[in-house]
Amino acid sequence: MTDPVNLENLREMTGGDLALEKELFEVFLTSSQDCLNALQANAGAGQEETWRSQAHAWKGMSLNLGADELGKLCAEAQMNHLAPPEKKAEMLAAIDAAYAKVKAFLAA
Amino acid sequence: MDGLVSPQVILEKIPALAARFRLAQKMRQTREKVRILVVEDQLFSRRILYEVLIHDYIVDLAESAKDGMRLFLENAPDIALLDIELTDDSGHTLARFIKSIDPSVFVVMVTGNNSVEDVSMAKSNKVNGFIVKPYNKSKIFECIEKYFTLHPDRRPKGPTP
Repeated sequence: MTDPVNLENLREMTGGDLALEKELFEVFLTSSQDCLNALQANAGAGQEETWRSQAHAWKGMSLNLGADELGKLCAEAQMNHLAPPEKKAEMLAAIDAAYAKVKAFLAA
Repeated sequence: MDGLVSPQVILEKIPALAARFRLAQKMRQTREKVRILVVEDQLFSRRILYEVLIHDYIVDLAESAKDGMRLFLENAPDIALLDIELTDDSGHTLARFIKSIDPSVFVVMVTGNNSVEDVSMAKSNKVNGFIVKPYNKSKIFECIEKYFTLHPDRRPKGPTP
């Protein structure tokens, strides 16, 4: 099974500075929680643009971290921003599960 | 201009800002390091760009198009890295704003989408480069290298990053 996060690229950018890496993880987790809350609050009809922009933001952060699976799910959520609420609930469940794995990996 | 006030209006109505911009523009050649404006609404991505660039360049960070416009006018950067999807406006609007005031600024669009529309819009705004997320060092420095190819006099004297 592959890791939920590939830190190779991030480490190249941080020059292997572990304190900085830790700080970046904290920024990622705080921002991700904001995105998750926003997606949960905007899964209903009439909130498609907020859903799309939050999914887009989370996708960018995830890909920059190296959390490719989470990034892929956010990209799908962004692309399917016009989906009905039931479909969005399914997408949210998948995103939440992927995010839990990322959180556990970063905490290890 | 879509959301931002037009450059002409700003520079005509706020003479102090226009004077400051002209002064910063004149000081470009005497700066020891190239100055880069980063406009990115996501803190995590903004921070990564900062960490990659700060060792070799002067970096100004903005989280919105409006902040980006202000920092551009205050500091006259050599290079602008602009995220396309910002919270208050589009990076394309900011790119047009910057290019209409100073076409010599090296503008690079940054995006997570890489859509045909974005590429076409970037071309019509005559921007100089395009980076698709995720960021990595080689994508970023490749773009900056293009700037130094156009402006060899601005290349740092020491070893290149």
